[in-house]
Amino acid sequence: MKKKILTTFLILLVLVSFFSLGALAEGEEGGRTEALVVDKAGILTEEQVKVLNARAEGLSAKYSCEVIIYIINEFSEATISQTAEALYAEHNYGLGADRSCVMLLLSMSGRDYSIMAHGYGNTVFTDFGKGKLADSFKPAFKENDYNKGFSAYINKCAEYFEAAQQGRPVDTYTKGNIEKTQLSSKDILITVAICFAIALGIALIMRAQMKTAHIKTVAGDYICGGVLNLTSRYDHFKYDTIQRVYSPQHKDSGGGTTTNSGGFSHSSGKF
Amino acid sequence: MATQITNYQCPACTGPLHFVGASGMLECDYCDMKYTVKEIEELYSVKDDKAEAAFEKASQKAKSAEDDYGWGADAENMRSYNCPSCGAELICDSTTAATSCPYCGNPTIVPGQFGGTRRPDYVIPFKLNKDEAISALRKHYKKKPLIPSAFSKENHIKEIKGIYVPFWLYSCEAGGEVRYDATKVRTWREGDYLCTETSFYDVQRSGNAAFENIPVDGSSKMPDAHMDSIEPYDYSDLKDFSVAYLPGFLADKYDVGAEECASRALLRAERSVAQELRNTVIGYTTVTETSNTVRTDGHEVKYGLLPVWMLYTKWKDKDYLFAMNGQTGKLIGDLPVSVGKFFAWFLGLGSVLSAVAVAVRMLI
Repeated sequence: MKKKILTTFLILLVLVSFFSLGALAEGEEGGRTEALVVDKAGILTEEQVKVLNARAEGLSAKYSCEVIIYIINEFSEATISQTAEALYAEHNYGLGADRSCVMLLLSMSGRDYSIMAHGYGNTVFTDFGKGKLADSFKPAFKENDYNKGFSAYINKCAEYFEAAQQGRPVDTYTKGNIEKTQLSSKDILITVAICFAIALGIALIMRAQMKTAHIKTVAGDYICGGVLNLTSRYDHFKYDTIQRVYSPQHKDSGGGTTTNSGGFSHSSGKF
Repeated sequence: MATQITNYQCPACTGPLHFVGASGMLECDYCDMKYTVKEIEELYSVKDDKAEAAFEKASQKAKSAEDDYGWGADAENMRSYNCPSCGAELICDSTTAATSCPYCGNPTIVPGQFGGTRRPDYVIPFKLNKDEAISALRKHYKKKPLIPSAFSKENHIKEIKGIYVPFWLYSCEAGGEVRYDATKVRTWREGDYLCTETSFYDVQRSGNAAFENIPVDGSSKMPDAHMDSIEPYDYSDLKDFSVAYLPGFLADKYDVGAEECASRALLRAERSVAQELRNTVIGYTTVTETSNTVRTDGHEVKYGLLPVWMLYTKWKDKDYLFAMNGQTGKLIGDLPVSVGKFFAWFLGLGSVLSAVAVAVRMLI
């Protein structure tokens, strides 16, 4: 009797443990089979990968959207965007029901990059926002300082998540957009130069007002009746000319995120 | 000996008389008695006639002054009179027609300067008194932030003087034709093409206008720019000339003739007609004058004395002149600029604008 109870208890314990571990595994990694930061090209040190991964994990958990950095030597599909989608599927990336994520994929041989988003990632990272996101890491990548570039990428992702949480994702300059352009020294210098030019103009006008005596060239005040007697007027059309100049109009994007049939949005380029 | 000058004195107390614009009468400085212009005219007509005759006689002997006093070439521009009140000798410009004796303070008129063909046709009496002129000048300084502080303090503002300035008043007709090349430009878009249509016109306008009393100052001592700038005068206050309007003020006879000044007035009339014709050419994008036949046709000229309050100031070896229309109060003048204040305003404004602009750019 005691043996039967003990055996039944042990079987139950194993079963419960099996399902719990499975559930735990599901909760911890969302089913993915790879880390969030993967360096197949060896451009980062182990320590750098570890630190970046920890930061990416923290951000992903906070906003329920995986932040992925994937570095390869060459892309396997026809385009880098297709390669990003393939990696997403292969490693089962994405959190939540809509498998939300944002992935920065680097292909070192051609110095190509791709920013891909899915699910909630499409809300946070609009077409305009992806362009601005690239501006945060491209300067560092150009200097081959990849750790600095990826760190900037993760910092920017945090800002974008925060903006989206406040209901104002980074998008084209519409009212309420909190993306603030960092003023460069050149912008500040130009602004200051224009202001001082205006100040100089005002000061010169004040100086001109110190001299009020001028010779008069007309005598309109002395016309009898104050009115000219117009005796004839004649306006004769001679000819006209028409000039046509090619000047294509720029289309206004109007903001938002463009997704394909798979629900992915992409932005790519060279670094 | 007949004196060439007349002191206008109160018949009641022999105090000095001066013309007051507000009342339009001559008032005594001592006993406050008031007299109309006509009363004083009648009272002093005999004295003025005698003074005029003495002036004419003295003018014949003007050259001898050079021998008597050793003035040399300056004698031509100087006159010497004896004040009938205190006997003091007054040395004046040859064109001085009204002044005051520096010894007894009596207003002094030289009727001879207005004798015969030299008699003005009109005068506009002073409407604004000295206090009003000083007050207007102080306000003028206050509105100028670049003026050196020391200048407005040391300006001897109470030395402002009321002067009847001799003017030639020209009346004429001007007319003619002006032709222009004009264009109208229209733009529109057809797809990716920007289209511009330019239409060319030949435009002509003819017209004329009559001008009355265009003033040109007949005194070489008065800068033309200042006299032009205090225009216009209100000719509804124009009075037939009487010497009785002059006591209490300075006055000069003209020393630049009517024909010499005519070209300035006639050119102003022609330019006015051309400008009025141009103002009728409307609705065009560009207008370019191609020919102009506007001319004046004869002219009449009158001689008048018009009121001006003036203050001469010397500041750091430069002369500054302020003139105020004694009838309308229009004030003009050249003021010195403080270099320190100019740069303070420039740097201060520039700093404030820069700070605001950079802050706004960061917030947008």
